[in-house]
Amino acid sequence: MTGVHRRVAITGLGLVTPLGNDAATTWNALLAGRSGIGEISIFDASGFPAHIAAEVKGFNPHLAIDDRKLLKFTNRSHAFALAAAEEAMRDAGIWPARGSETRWGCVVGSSMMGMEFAELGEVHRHCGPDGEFHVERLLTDRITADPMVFCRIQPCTGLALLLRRFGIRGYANSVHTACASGGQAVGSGMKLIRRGTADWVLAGGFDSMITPIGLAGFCLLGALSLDNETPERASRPFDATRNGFVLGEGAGFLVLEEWEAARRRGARIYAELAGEGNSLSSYRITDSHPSGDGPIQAMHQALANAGAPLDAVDYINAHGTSTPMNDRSECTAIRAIFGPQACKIAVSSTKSLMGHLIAAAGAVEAAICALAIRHGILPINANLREPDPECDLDFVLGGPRVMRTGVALSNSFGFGGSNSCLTFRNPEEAPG
Amino acid sequence: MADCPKILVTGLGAICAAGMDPESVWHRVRSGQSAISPIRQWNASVWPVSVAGEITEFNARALVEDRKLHKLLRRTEFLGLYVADRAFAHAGFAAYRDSLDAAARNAFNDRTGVYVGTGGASFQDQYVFFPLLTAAAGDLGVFGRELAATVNPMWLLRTLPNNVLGHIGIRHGLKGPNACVMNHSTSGTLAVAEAAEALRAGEAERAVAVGHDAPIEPQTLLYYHRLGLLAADAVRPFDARRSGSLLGEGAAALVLETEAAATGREAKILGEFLGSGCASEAQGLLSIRRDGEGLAYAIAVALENAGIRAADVGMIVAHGNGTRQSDASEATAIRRVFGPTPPPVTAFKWAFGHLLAASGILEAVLALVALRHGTVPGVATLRELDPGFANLPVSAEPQTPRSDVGLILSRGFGGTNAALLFRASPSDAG
Amino acid sequence: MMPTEISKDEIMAVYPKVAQTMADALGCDVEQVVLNVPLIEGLDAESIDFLDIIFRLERAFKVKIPRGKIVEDARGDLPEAEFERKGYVTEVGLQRLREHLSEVPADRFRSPMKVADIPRLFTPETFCKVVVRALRAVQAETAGVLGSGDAREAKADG
Repeated sequence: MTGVHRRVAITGLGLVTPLGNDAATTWNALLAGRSGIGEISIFDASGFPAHIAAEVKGFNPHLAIDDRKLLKFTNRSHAFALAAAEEAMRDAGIWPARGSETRWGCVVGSSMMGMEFAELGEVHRHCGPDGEFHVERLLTDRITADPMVFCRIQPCTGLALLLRRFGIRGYANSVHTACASGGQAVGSGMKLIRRGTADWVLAGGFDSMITPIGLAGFCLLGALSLDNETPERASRPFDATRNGFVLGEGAGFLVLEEWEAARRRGARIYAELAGEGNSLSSYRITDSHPSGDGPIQAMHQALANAGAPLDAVDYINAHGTSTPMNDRSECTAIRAIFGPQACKIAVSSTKSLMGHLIAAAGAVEAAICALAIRHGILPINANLREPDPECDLDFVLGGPRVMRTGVALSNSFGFGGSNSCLTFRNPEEAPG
Repeated sequence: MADCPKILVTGLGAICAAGMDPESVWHRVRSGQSAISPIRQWNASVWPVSVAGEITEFNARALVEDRKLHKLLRRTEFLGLYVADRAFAHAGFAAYRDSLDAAARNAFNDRTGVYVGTGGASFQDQYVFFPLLTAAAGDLGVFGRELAATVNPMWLLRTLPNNVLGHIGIRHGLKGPNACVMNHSTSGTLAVAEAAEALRAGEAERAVAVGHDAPIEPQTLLYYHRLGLLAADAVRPFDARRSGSLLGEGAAALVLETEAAATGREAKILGEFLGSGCASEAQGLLSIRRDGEGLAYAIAVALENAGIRAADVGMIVAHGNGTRQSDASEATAIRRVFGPTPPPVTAFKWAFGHLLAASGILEAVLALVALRHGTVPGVATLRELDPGFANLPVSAEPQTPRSDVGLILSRGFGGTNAALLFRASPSDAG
Repeated sequence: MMPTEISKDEIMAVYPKVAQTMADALGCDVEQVVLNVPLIEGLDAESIDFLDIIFRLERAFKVKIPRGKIVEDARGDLPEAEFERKGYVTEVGLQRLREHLSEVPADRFRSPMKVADIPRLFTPETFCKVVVRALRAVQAETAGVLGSGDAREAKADG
């Protein structure tokens, strides 16, 4: 085992988001305040109660990944993952090689498994044309005879593809805690380096639930904004009139690297991934506790874990889904932790522009925090026009705020009650 | 790991075709009687594979009382919640927590982690859309408009992969660090490893680790069959005539506790977590390296993590899924690490099938029970050891462990390998 | 809109089936579903349970209950901007709610009240009235008249 105080540098970033198919395009769109939300175009969603979403646009997996064999196994979200991970690895400028391959780990927040809609339709055509499922007809069904279909929909398929693509031979894990998945995956990657299990970790999340079944699931729950006529205004975290989230899709990946190794090779360090807090709300499966219980423990731990005092925090990338309940309880939690200090912290939810990327959200927002620290600019919380007295924090409004950030937090809270909070520190302030 | 706290095992839970608690499963395995039986959940008699390790007396209400959960959860989740309840009770947590004052109770809850390995969604979850698909007749507009009148609003919540995690938390009031691993057959194994590492890092004082899966459904069975992974009648690990695995269902749970926390409440110690290792083969979803290198590396990492030598291992519970390729590369990996004289090797899947996400953790629970009984149970379906595995000390008959240390191996899709090391405490029952 | 009074008889006619449906949805005994128990505080209902209850009532009574029907009916002809301001129910909005949810004791209407907190007022009787209105709408529809509504309360959150 290696030393006890191993620290973690973020040395590579990759994004495929509704705002752009790489990190730079996404970042520039965030700064420009451009919304990625519009009418759903991937399929005919016009009959659904919500028919707007934040889609990834103009994405061609063949341009992003030059391995046609691998693409045979990919669904839409896996292709996002491969492209974002590729960008992150190239950005970091380091690759698993003979001798180092077992010191590379990979942790991903994976999309919920689900049969692709077209395939479900095929099975239905054979096995349930009268609406009832006939199990014996599966024996002659074309889809259930196709092992490729099965390979594409395994919950660990995304991980398997990444491992193969990059030749990662160390620790490998795929996790899912709904909307907290990406944050927990990145936090888990940090711990692998700290405890000496790995020296480099490719960590991130990917998701695409903009499918008839995914959209149906969220519509049924009544969790989505139904502001179909004003898509760019629909996601308005912390606004008094907020009425639900907007579904997004994409992937975010980070290359995490042991600090000294990164320094030795002269790597560009975006930020230190300095801490993680991870808690369970254990209240309800979808409702958040009005007092902020759960997220409070996660944020406390994230700060303690990073050894960061309360007054060091300059920016919080909020979970901020734009649902009435989440945003209220998140603000309550932030106030409970920081007290009067809370009003000195800049807060924004980038979901206001790119929607909610579900299992990818935490990883994408981690990358955004790293970019905010590197560039000294904070992205806005778009669409906040009617202040909510229960959400009175210093939101970044109007335009991006040019501000040096010493310490940033990124929150992700999931259905099921898992909470993740990540702490990022400006490399200039990193001790040692 | 000099400055890390010792991690002790203070509670166990298990359910599978072979029994509803660790001791019953142990006795069934020890007796040499397989619990593989004809599938009852649907008429599988005309199917290419019609047997599995199915829990024939499955009764969700008997497993989990909370009525409200029964509209929300699926078979796999009742199994997971049941073993968590049992392990929590086995560890004596409820009575201990009740003895604390309010502040200490809150601290107990905040400092208790929950780590779950799950198989994820099932195909059957999606069949509720069939009536709607029929009504829509290919028209997505109709599909969207009729949705709310046809499909229960809770549908998405029923299919959340992290349902067991969330509901264990709610049922027991636990609020500590957590993870939900969705990594095929290493899911439960990695849940144990992650729980232990959280305790070592001081993130929690105790944690419950759970693995659960219920993959016996028509569509899954067909896919596994068509990929050539299933045997027709029995799982024969390391046998010359082995022809594949069989699906099983169930769950298992381990309560882990730091030494300070366990001794502080005078808990009964069942064993000690020593270490874990995880390694990938980077070959894609289904390929397995013939040289066993990924698995051998995972074992080496686990030994290093535990701070012990290969010679200290007293028993190996192999993944032994009974497929030609996996068993062969596993035998190679064991030889690579342990040389010509490995400790006694056994495998359990012949008895209750392959529980996928729950397999590794169930086998870890059984390994602890076996070591506490001082017996390496035989592989009852083994007739003729594959001549390629000469010197692999696997037998149809029981063997005696070389020490109180057990190594448990898990391998999953994606070429992931995981290894756990435990030391069993002597059994007070003898 | 038809602010027609609903009689106790009409309520009691549907109550047994409503109570059973709610007991199924909430996983409680039907005896616990007394007419005036607050569903959130009294029977531990969470936001998604309201969606489930409405779905089950639609099935049980073969009626349509559009999402947000209760608030929509309470608001009546009052423009939305006058019913709520910045997420809070206005005073005149609160008055409409008191009238519409006449089964709820007056002291439970606290001012200010968030729109999101309206479901805290709901009782089994509230849903009995929803069902009675929906059944009337079915009758009206067979007579050639149509009714409709829009979405609002009882949203799951995340």
